[in-house]
Amino acid sequence: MIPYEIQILVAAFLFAIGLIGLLTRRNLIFMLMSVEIMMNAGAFAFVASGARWTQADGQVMFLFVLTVAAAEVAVALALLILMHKHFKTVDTNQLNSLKN
Amino acid sequence: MFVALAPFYVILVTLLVVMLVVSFYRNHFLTALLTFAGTALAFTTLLSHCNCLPWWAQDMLITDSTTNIMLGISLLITLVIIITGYNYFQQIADKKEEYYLLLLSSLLGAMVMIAARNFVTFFLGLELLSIPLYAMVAYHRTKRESVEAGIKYLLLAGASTAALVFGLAIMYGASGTMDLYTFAIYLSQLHQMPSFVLVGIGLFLGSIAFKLALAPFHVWTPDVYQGAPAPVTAYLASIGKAGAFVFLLRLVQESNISSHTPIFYILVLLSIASMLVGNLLALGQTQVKRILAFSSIAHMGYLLIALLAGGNNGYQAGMFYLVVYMISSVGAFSSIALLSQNQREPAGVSEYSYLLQRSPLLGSVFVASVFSLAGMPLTAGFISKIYLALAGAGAALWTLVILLVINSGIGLYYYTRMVAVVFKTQETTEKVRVPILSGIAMAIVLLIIVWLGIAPGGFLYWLVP
Repeated sequence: MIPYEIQILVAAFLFAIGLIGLLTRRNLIFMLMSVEIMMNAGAFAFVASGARWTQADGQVMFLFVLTVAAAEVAVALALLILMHKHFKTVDTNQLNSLKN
Repeated sequence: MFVALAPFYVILVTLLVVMLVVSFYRNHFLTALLTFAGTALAFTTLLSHCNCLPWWAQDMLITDSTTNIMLGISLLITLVIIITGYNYFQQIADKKEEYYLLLLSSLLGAMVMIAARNFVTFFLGLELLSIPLYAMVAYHRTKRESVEAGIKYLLLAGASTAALVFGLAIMYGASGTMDLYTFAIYLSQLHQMPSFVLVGIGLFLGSIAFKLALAPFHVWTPDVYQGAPAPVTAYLASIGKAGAFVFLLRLVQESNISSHTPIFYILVLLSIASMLVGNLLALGQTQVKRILAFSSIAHMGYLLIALLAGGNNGYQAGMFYLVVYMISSVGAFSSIALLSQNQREPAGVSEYSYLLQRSPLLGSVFVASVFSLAGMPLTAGFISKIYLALAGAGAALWTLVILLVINSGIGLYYYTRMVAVVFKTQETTEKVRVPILSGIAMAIVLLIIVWLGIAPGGFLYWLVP
């Protein structure tokens, strides 16, 4: 079996990829994808942790995370369409109408 | 046997009923009435004090006095938000009804969070609270600001959720349990915290800090508060923070981290940063909703003092402070909601001029709420701040208590600036018409703020653990 530390390292690597994507990309679609990668990294870490204690809880949590991520994306895509309607772009740098 | 979970069932059934009604017959008044009735019914079921739970829910939810008090306050606040929100959303041309669906599902999430005693229920409650909130923040579909606020909230909250999942996974991987109390025992038995566990807890705390809008995770707060419709801001500022704080309170109270552990120092840093950032950045703001947003950041920083103080005093001070903060911010944001006309909310401080003359009721609620947030005597905020300072002093957290006092002084500047214009008078003013039900709801909020400021004994008695 692959050691637990390696599994968590892979998950952390995935998480870092998502985080870097979120911080560097300015296109809303790519940013949402990056958030998804981060969520899946967390879910993967749950599966790894569940396997470490030989419990099913981790996998159950994975299913929950998957469902929640799907619900989140549904709302996110609706907002994406609204954004394109109002701003005529999906570039998040253009989101600057709220200020003091 | 099922009495303890009755509020959850009632809200769930109301949610389904409202969903069915909306899909067959669109009527704003009927939808609001059903939502109100369901929430009121859920509140009445709380009155039968029952701490029993069916066996299958015991691992997941807990209904102790903490849960019952916070559920009661949350439901009462939701009632106020429904009433004032009804008048607010009357101004929108179309599609008013979905707001109530989102509100109810979000409320259910908040309730689950408050009662959660397992990582799974906490995570699900948090998401059930957040996902409808993204849509609620962007509810003014025709307004740029609202959509922008929604997207900003969604992106940052999504990232914080991912951090939460990763943090919980590490906490579970290290301890082998998803149960809050078992995990707390595991934490308190650690002599030296492994860096692995610390990373997990750091991610978890960061995510909670995001939900509570603690600095440095506060960046979203002013924009989202400003862009969201005022009733949604009221909801976000009050109930949106209850669940996360209660979960953190349970963890801290059980795991006895109020000694010199890394978690203790993380919380101290968060508290100091929030107090300073919230108050100093509020000084330069000109928009009332933004000022209140920064003030809420500062308030969450104060609230952490109670958490760090620990013990019974810390518990009592924390719960009381949270309740008072929730009521005060609902009072302030609901006044803004009732003041808005033709889909436009009064934004700048100067737009609140002559408020006491234009509407004595709204003016006094606004003044009382802002004074309560500032911690003026005779309002609830004063008593709660005293309890907070006492709890902090009792635990010898002198740095934090001194910072609390200094920051309350800084805060007075911007709170007074908001209130000063309200007292202005002029010869002729345009009266603000307050609908009767909203008037009653606001009067009750005002009474509670003043009552808790003069005679808090009865309420504090409930909070004795």
